[in-house]
Amino acid sequence: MRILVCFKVLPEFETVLESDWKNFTPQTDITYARRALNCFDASALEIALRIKDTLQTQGKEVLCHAATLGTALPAFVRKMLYAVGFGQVILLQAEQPEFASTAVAEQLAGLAREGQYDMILTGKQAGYADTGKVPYLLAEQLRMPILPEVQMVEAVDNGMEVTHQTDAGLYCSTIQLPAILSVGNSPVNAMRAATLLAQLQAAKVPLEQRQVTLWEEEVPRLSYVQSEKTCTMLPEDTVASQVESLYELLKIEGDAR
Amino acid sequence: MKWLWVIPPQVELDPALATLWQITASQHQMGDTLTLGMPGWGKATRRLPAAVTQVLYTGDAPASTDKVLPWLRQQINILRPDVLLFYGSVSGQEWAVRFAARSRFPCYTQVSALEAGRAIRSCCSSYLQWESRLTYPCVLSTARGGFQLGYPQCTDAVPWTKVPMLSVQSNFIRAQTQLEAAVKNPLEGAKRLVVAGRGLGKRESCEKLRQFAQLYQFTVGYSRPAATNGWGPLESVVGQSGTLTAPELCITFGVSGAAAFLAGVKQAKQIIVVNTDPDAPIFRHCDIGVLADAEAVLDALISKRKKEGM
Repeated sequence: MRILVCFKVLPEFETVLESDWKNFTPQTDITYARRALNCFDASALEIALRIKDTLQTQGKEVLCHAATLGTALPAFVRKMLYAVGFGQVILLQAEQPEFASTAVAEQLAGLAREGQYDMILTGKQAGYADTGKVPYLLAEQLRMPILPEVQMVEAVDNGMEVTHQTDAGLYCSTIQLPAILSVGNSPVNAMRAATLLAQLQAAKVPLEQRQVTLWEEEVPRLSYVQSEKTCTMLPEDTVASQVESLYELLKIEGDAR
Repeated sequence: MKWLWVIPPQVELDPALATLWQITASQHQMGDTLTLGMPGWGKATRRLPAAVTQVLYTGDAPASTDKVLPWLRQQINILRPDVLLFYGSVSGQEWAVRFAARSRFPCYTQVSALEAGRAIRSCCSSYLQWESRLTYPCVLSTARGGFQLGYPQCTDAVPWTKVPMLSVQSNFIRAQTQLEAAVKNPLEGAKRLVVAGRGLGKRESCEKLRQFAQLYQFTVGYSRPAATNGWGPLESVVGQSGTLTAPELCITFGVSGAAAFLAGVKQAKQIIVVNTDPDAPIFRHCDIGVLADAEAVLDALISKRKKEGM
């Protein structure tokens, strides 16, 4: 079985300076901000590894690849992904991939076709734009069925058993492959950690990097949203005095004084 | 202008109609036609926003994407709408993006407002507001939550026309079991909201928070980390990945204030924060801050309410 996980590494927006937000454009340099795996993609990566573990214990051959599209991939992410068991980590290197969902989906689709993957996992949304469009655009490009809001995936005899949220409630569906699974809020909320030895060995494994060109999409007008609230801190005398003040605020209208 | 609203089946109809109307209202003008598309719905006698001019429904057939998208294409060819506005539920979001891709229409998802011919939404974990000038025809999907319930003028004199979907065979889903039925999202329309964050430390503290909520008549929500830790249902996540809320009063316990969470409470009239970390980002986005241990505060509030005999 061949599995592809599409992931994204994002800046932790809380570490971006307010001055950069106020004048933000897609070209604004925020490379100083800490970077981390998008939370939904982290779930997707871990789910893929668990499927790989299950199938390998059954003696089945599994290839697990991880791919991202961006300007660069931090070395710690590359090492981490190799160390936890991904066979290949691919960077589709492009300038200004943000706010370009359709172009990004086209490139990922090209990679998916080339690799002939049976299952593609993605996080449900990520990136500066947070539109959540790429998984669906990928499904359209590849003419593959897609299940959104996936919480868990397990390998079973006749396909994959997927727990997913729908408008009608939470369902467990046994699906036929190939398919795209878009992971939402999941109890699998983090990717496993690698051993130190695995990390040291992974440090030597190169990243597969391919240069791609994205066609330009319309960039929206962006403006900084400043908080209108000014915080008044309750005096820190004792919890009891703080609670007295809070109680007045929290009382339900109509409560007797 | 010609509008087409699309509401997937199995969603709560009143919040869906209210959401669609609130987004449409600022751009809707006398003389506009507004068709309500309801694939997977049976006919229902009910009051609708007065601006709705007709309803197209398919009957109670299962509404898979493979059936709905061709059905929509058929309606578009007749109606020629300028704006297709999908209610942003799980299916609505999928249908919007995929229909737009097939039709080569521009598509804007998670739209929170329309202003002067522009679609407004948030991005970069709600640090930024995004505005895109609309070109027609276009496809939009609504943001989840953050809208007021209700619509000002109603009508029950709207013609309903049944247009069946074509039957499509698919082998993709071999078997399916419902694990939990959909429940009305308690966060939508909540006037008093309490949110549990990961800073509460353990599942047992969430039990205290739920007790607090019952005594003080609050609806309970969870930050994403708290919910994915299993401390509360995933359907009650507050924030960009869950529900956007607009309560009169919101109080958070142990929430640090990641931007994606703040997007879910920024429309609250008053926000009270309880946290031990004076550097937590959430203190910059609240009205009242309490630097104290969340569990100690909860214990004291519960005890006080019980003592007062409430």
